Amino acid sequence: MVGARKSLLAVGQGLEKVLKVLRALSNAGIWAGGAMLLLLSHGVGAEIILRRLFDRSLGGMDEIGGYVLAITATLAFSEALFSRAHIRIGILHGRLAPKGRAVLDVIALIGLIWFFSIILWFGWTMLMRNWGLGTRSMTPMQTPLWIPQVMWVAAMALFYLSAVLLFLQGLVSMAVGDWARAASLIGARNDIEELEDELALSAQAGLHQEEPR
Amino acid sequence: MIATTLIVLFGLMILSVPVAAVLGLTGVILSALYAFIPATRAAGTISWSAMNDGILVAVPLFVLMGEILLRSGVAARMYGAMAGWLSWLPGGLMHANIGTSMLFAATSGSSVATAATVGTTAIPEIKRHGYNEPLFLGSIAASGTLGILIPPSINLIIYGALTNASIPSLYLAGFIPGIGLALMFSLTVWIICRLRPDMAGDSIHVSWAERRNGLPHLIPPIAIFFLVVGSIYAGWATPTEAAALGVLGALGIAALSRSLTRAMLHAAFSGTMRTTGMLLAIVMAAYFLNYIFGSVGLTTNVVRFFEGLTWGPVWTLITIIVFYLLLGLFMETLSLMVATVPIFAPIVVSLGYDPVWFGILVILLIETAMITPPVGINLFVVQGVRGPGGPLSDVVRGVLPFLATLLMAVVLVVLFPQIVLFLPEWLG
Amino acid sequence: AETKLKALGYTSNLYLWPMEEAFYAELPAATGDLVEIEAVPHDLAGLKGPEVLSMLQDGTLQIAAQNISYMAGEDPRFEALDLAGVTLTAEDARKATEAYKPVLSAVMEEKFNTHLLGLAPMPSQIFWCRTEIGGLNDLSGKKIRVFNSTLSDFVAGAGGTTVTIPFVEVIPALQRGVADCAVTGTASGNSANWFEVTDFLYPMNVGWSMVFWAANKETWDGLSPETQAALSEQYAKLEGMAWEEQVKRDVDAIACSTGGECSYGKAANMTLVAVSDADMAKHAEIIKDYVLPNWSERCGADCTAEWYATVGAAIGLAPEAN
Ligand code: NA
Ligand code: NA
Repeated sequence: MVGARKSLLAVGQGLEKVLKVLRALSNAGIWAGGAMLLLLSHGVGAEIILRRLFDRSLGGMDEIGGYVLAITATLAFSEALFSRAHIRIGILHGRLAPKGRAVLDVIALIGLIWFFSIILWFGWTMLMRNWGLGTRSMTPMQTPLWIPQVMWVAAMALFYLSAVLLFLQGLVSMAVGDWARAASLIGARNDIEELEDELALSAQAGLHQEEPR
Repeated sequence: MIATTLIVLFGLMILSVPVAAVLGLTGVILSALYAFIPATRAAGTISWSAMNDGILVAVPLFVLMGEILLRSGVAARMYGAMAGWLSWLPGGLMHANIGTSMLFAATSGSSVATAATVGTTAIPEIKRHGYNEPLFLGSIAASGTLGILIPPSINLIIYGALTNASIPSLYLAGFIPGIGLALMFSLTVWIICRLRPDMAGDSIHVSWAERRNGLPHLIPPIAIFFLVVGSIYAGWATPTEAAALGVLGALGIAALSRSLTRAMLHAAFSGTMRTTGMLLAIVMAAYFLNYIFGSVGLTTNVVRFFEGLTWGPVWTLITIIVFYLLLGLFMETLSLMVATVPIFAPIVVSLGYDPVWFGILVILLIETAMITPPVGINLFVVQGVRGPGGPLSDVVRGVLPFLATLLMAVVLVVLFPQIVLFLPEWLG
Repeated sequence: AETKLKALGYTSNLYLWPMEEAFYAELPAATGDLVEIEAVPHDLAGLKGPEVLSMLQDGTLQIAAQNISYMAGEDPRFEALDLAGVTLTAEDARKATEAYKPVLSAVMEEKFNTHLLGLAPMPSQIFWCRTEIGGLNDLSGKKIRVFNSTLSDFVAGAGGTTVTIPFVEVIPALQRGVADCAVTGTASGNSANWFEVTDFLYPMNVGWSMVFWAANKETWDGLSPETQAALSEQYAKLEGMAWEEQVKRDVDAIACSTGGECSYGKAANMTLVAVSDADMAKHAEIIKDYVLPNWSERCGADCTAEWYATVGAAIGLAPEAN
């Protein structure tokens, strides 16, 4: 019994190491996503000025915008997962005891993993097809589609892997009876936690709440 | 098939499966049960084309714009200035809640962020000035819904992307109902506080000097509004490009107020990624579900059902409104919108209604869904901001008068479509 | 019928879908009850377009109609019949199509695992401008919204600035002057009320938006020879009807938009800009110097040679001798 618990804890520590890497990647994704959005904004700003004042066009900013959205938003899936920001409906969840909640948390994550394994698999199939055929976008830019799609699929894979490992880590925590830790990993974020996260972001930005006059 | 759909949909939701996965899995299950062709095999291409969308990129851009303004303190300073100008009204700070939320909610893309900003500043004032707590909380929850109606609005962009309705027209169309609804909310507060002075709190005295000093803090949001909306009507930018201009404008404002720091940017990026990830996961899954609805024939069935009704356009419209109100009790708002608009908008348009007008009506119904229990995102948010201090039912009670006002607005928009269509027809 | 198939029709808001709907309804009777096909239009199936070929290829779809220009990125030969300005009349387009059909048929079979059943054009792609133009020369210096490479080549040749804007945003862009002109079909522009935001219609054809009907190859190979023969015959008829209807719709749509006699579209009062002889001379130069060389670069030497041997021969265009 004690042996089993020990080896579970060891597995948990192993998982934690991998998750640390994934969290770091997701964190880097925050900068990458933000930077892409800022770059796109500057590109669009340049396009507007060129078009308006010089009758020139960079061309294809709308297409690049589409790729930026696909890649940024998919990177953001991971960040939303780690900060437990994916919306869940708490009608039943909020009324249960910790163990009941944990059961629902496991079901929720299985659901997420199930759906995204389908998306990831067929996304991969699509990428392989377009890579093999050398498919390009049907626009003046003629972007080889595998370039944005490989980034999209990679971001999706990062999210998927994170979900699977979080799930395993959650299971380990439950198996050793650490319900609080399981909830902090895969539980639904309650209103108070959500607010705390909000305030933490504002505090990080160096904001002090001002008194109204 | 419709029964199965609803059972799977609500079953998974009650099990607290993430909404994106609920929509996706409903699609997968429907496809397995009813599809003639193996529709799920298109999951990769469908989700890629849902996400690789040059229009929807406006969503993270607006979220980022709002985040920059929020994290650089613009929103909080704006609330202070609003409070200075509006708190003499009966109901005091509740009018500032309405004004600030109205300008802010949609651009920040997150009701949580807006309510957190307004709520954390305002809630300590409830006790200090003796406001009626439920009513005060209700005013925050209800006014948090206004932003999606007043341009720029992420929900209007998504409606445009779903229906091909003109986004500039939608922006113009949302303007009068949005301002009108804000005034109606204020009027609601006023009337209640006139009838029940005990709910109104102490009167707050603000000197003219203080008010004048607050004025500069109102400039940034107004400047951003003119940059984003103005560049569209001046023919400088498309609505998507205008969102990018909004980001540049917000960066400029942050730089001017000396808050453009690495820490601020990281906070803004983090907030943007969380909200974007949450929103786009739902949008992607809802596009997939729509595609499955089409391929299993559910869309055709619903369309035939409505075409078969011999009640005439008015009763059909009323049926659709009731349907939205019912679904809105339980469904999260974005998925409600993405899952239903592609089905209902063509029906409503074929009955002779204007697609832009229907867009505004849908937004009003979505606003209603945000504040109706048991699943009302803004109720939860405000309860969260308030911290442990009382039951959720306080917020629900407080929001009821505003809910009544909102329903009245729905009736007005149905009876007088010109409220919506006047501006796009005049300026369009 | 013993064989039951499912097909994807073209989008429901265009005239082609009602034709297809009638076609599929009569199919069992027309084939002596050999085959029955249930069809849904694109939009009702929730599809946007670009994904159709891959779904047909892997058998997710059994039969589908699709705009071939959506697939230009899959293989440059899918552009070959839609090269901007190369065929100006329906007659030439039909000759070119007949000549090139075997090439496309082979590409689809070998590279995309699909069996081509028919090819027909949708109404002509032409220029819709908000500011006054008198002819091709006036496109110079204008901001023109384009959506594919060959159009971009043509506009560059005419001296215009190409801008790319998502379709949904084109109307407001024209209204506000983000773009001066845009290209779309005669009928689709009319039905989408483009005449409300543009005043000048320049009817030089810069694309046909060819639509194809095709079956997944396994699906097709699984049919009996009689069924295959019957379906080939029926789709050929549908193709013929679509070609005839295209001419009718094109004429009507232009007349409707420019104050002429109007039976299908919406009446409007745009100015129809005549295509002058000078325009035709300039047009030939643009084709020779921009459209064909750029496409040839995308397509490669063999592909270009094949094109001149088929389409070129059919419409009397010979390769430049170097
Ligand atoms: Na707004
Ligand atoms: Na609700």
